[in-house]
Amino acid sequence: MCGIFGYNGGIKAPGIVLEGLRRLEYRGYDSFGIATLGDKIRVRKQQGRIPETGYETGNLAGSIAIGHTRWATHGIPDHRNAHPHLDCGGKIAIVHNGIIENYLALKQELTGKGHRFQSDTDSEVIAHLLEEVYDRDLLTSLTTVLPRLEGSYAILAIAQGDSRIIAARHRSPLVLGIGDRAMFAASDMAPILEHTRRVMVLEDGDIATFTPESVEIFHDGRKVRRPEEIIEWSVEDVRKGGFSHYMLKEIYEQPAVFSDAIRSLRKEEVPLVFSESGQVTIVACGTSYHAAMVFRYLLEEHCHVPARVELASEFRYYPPPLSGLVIGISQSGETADTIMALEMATLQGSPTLAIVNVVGSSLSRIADATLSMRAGPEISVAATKSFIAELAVFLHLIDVMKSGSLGPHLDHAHQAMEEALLIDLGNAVTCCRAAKDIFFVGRGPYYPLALEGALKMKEISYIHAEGYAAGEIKHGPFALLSPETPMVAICAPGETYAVMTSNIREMKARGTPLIILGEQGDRDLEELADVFIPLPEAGSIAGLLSATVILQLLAYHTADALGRDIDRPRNLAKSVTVE
Amino acid sequence: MRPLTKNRPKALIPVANSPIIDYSIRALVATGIREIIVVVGYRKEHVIRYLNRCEFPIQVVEQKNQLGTGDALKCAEPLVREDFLVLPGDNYIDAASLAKIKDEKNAVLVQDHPYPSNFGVVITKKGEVTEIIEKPEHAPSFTVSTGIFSLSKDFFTVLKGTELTDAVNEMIARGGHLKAVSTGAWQDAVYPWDLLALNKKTVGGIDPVKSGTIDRTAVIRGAVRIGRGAHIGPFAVVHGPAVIGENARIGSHCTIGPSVSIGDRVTVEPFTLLEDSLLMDDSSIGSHSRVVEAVIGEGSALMDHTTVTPGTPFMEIEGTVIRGRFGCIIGDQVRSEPHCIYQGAIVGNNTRIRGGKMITGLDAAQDGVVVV
Amino acid sequence: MEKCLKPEGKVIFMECVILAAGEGKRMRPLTATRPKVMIPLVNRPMADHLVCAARDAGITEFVFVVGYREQEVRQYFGDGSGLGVSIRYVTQRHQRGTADALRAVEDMVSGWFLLLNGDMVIRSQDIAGIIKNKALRMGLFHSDHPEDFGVVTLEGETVTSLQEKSDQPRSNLINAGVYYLSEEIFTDLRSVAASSRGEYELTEALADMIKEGRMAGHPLSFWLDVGYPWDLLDANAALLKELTPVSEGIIEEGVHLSGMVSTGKGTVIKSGTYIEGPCIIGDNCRIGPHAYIRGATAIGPRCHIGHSTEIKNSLIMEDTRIPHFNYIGDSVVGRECNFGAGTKVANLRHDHRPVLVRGRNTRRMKLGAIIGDGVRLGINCSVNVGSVIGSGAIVAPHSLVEGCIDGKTFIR
Repeated sequence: MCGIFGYNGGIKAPGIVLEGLRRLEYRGYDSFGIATLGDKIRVRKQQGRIPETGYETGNLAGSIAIGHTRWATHGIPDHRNAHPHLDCGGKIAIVHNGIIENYLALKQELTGKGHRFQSDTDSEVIAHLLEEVYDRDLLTSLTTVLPRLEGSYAILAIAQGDSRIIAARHRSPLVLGIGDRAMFAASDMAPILEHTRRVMVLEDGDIATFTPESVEIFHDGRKVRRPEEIIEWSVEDVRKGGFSHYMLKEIYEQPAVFSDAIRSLRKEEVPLVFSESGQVTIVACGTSYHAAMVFRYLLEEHCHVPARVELASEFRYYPPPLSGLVIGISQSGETADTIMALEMATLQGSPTLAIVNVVGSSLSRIADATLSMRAGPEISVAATKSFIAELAVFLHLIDVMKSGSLGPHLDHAHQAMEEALLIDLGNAVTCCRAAKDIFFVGRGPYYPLALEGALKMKEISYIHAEGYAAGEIKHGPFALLSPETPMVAICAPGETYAVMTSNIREMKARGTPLIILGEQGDRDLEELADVFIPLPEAGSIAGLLSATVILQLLAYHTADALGRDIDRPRNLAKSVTVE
Repeated sequence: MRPLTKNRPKALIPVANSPIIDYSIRALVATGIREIIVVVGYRKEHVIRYLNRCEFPIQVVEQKNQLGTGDALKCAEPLVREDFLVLPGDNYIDAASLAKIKDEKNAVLVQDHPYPSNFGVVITKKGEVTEIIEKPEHAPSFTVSTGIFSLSKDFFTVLKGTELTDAVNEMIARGGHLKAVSTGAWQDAVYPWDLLALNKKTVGGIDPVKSGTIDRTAVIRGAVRIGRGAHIGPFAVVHGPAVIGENARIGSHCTIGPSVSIGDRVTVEPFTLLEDSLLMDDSSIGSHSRVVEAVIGEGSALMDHTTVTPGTPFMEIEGTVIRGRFGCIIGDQVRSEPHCIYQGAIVGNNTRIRGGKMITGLDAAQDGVVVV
Repeated sequence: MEKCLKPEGKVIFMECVILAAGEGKRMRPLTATRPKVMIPLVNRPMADHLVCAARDAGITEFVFVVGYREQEVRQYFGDGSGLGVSIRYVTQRHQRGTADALRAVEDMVSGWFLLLNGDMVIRSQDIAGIIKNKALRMGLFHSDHPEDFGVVTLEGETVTSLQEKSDQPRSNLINAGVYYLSEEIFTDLRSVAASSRGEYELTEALADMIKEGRMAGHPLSFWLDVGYPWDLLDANAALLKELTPVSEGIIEEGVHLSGMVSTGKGTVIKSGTYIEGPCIIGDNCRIGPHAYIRGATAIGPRCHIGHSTEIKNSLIMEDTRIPHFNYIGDSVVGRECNFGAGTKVANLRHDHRPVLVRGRNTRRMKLGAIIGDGVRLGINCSVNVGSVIGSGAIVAPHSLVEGCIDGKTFIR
């Protein structure tokens, strides 16, 4: 996915758009570009990240500007493929977030009519389609063009001689910001917050035009109104505030995120679709999928509710027979696979529940009910506090089903995370940073935590890491173990303690360096381990939270020791809005 | 300051429910200073996380190795553009004192102290400092440096070593002038029981706004601040000055205060007396307890019928024999079973005390001990 | 909204900038849901009085600098056509002082313009005096406690010095927060930006002009500012004295009215009610039977002041119900509050000393309570002198309320 940002206001437009793009960079950072409209359209774009300082906006001038940061889908990340894209005459410029699925057919048609294309992107067809029908009114032109596009888009378009920016949304997020004598449009609220708190969320199928003083929104040819909302997030929420990385800031926010989430959730009613459901299917991707797995273990153990967890990308093509509630989880609420999965569930007549962090996002619009994580904006690409927030939502639901018996545990669970934040992981980091492969194992709800720990390690340190259910390791993967492959094992007291310990002994016998998370004071584990990490609240639910924090910090400090670009890992984007 | 500084720097220890560093920041803001640079090191993420809650931006600089005050100041040099004040972040100071020194070109805030040997003793002549002697065995005067200086930007040219006081003495030796400005409001907690006096002082200045859920039979006298979501049970009595944190629960028939700070999410069970004490977040005290002059760390739980009573033990701390008066200094995550008695006791973090024990002095001062 | 008359007489082409961005922290809890300038005096927001005063002096172009709870201001005033003027808005994102607020309007004003702090009350004659000719001019006022304000020394008509708030003020002529300025101020404002000390104050930008003797001073005949909630009582009383009453309500037989009493449309005053003016009662109120209203009291629209209830010298905002056996004296009550039967507010100490609110001396012998919006008090509650009750607080029957209670507190 990408980030787009538009500004119609005063002469400082290029600088404002550049700063806005910086705030959107976490959505995509292969390349970026800005187009301004003064007397004519001027474009500057280039491959790579936006420089922190010193970027000269050069000859860009005008009070209207649109910009784009890119996460490449069609066409390699380079200067040619960067947005904004122009038509042949250089009089129309567009930026686009999404995928035009039928672009090849359109491109063929347009080249047949004599249009010359500069890039390999799908987005460029939009500019040329506009050129085909343009007759001095960009709004009517775009309205005519849009039905021909298949796929998803959030588009901002400008044309020489027109003092408006035209915006269109279809299955890609687009938000308007209302300032004083200035209007903004962006893929999300982060860049808008610097300027105003008044926003209007566009809906799928909306086309809007805006000038510094006014906004008009059309849907199916009719003029419509969208409600103006005041955003609660503050500018400080989207700033690093002294931490060296957003990820570190977000990790340290987790105790408060968890407590605040529990507190807010208690003030709301549990959605009927949940309380009335007999069984549950959960669809999600990535980190959210791991959270769903934890939920499944706990839901089945504590509430005896049959639960199934599905990868959203598989679910939508190979849906199992459904009965009961389908829950979709996505931090951004824009994850394409999860959206499709939930839409399919709806088509099959299942009640649906969305769990998201971004209010008003696409997933929450299609579900019957939504629970919000309320974790605040998560800027770092690797998910941390959203995972903890998702666990908060799940633990709260289980607590409600158990009539509040988990309540005291949840009230004090943040303490376990605070304790985890105090642990010195130096030895474990030394062990990991030199490795080429790291393994993570756990059992029960700690198994998905092992998967998550491996995912974090992969994502930001680029060291190959795999998570396994401890019992599975000896059915094959054991062959990979050696003195060069550290193993991180979570061995909490409980039913599986004994069998975990014997698994660990077997691994030790292969010379595998062992990093063990276990209960403080466990002499046996301390002896077995090369590095022993005491797990706060190891025997209880809070132990899941503290283990998460420890694994996140392990990945973070390993990546930091290796000098990685932690907030913007290579090849990754914050929210995967493509399949 | 152990055991309290194992998990937090001294600057983040709460008194009257605000970290010590908060008072310096408030004092600076009240005198109109908005460009604040904090040099962090130990537990820096926790400090940064706290500083992010300030309503205006505070710049943060990391001192990679804790070498000394002079070295810390040097780390901030690239960000300092003009004349500046330098303060230790873990002492208490008020706005009026800073106002006295703010406009002086080269000055140090000094104060008379009954035990000057713990500090930098200041020798003055005609209102100007001739020398600062760090922690002298036999102090030549009772006037000490508060560690708060107003300096000009060229001070950095004499800042060579790791200690700020050395550089100051060097500056004076080279003919520089350092005016001594007197104050009475500075307070430094050297030993953990000093926090009781600091708590008493700061709790007197709280804004007495009451929030949460308060039983109509509860009696609240004097200046008391009660945080959001707190519960004050039936017939509880709170004598101000006192501050009760967010989501705390004060059980029925408790008698709280004066000079009590209760952190967030603390539980005080019914029929308990609590005076002159500081309870950090998430701690709890069981019913029918009598707790006086206590400092209790985060997450620690003292069960019912606990008695904490002031004692004056002799203790050897870092080679010196020292005596203090306090009920108890209890670290974080301590678990104490019913009917324990603490008299002048220091208890380490994560210790477990079995029921019915009497603890004094340094008996249980080690972290992680189990007392049976 | 009670409409003012449209402007008559000559229209002057200049802008009036009104600073309305601040929350007014000292005004809490009354500012929980409205910025300070929207607090009503005689049932119209402070800013409304100000706009009308400026309009009556001939000004029709206004620029509001808004910020905190700006929606309230925008919704009430709209584009200004309801008042016969034109209003534009600029949002000041962070309240960093008057200079910062003024800078926000730089490209919206041209030539000479009037600058007013939104939270004061002045007369249109004085405004006319300030803008009488094109010269830099500041509004001044003789105060009996000048140590609370910035203070000015005047020689003839020229301001010779401007002193910041100090314990030893050089004169009793205070800076009233009314300025007649030209575009040149914006250049001076830019140099205020260079200083990083505290907030950006307009008075610093004026320093050069004052030193060069180019700033004139114009003492105002009337000026009120409101800093703390109890100041509203005096402001309300002063404005009630000037009010032209209307009698649009239904007054039943057996109602006694004396002094100036203004009743709004749809209001019913039931028998047995005794009202001693000056008093204004808004639209659609239900008063009585046997209610007793006296002192300088303002009752907002749609309130219910019921049987055996006495309201004395108080400011009650809209939609509040004080329906049975209540006493409220010298108090400010927000909107949508509900008083249970028998609930009373004390307004006098036993020792007759000045009432303290949150530790601060109000210098008033009589002061009841400052109550926010949406507060619900059960039956037979007692609210002690100088109490502050935050918005949304709920108080169980038979409770004693004293001191400062935060918003949403529950006294169980």
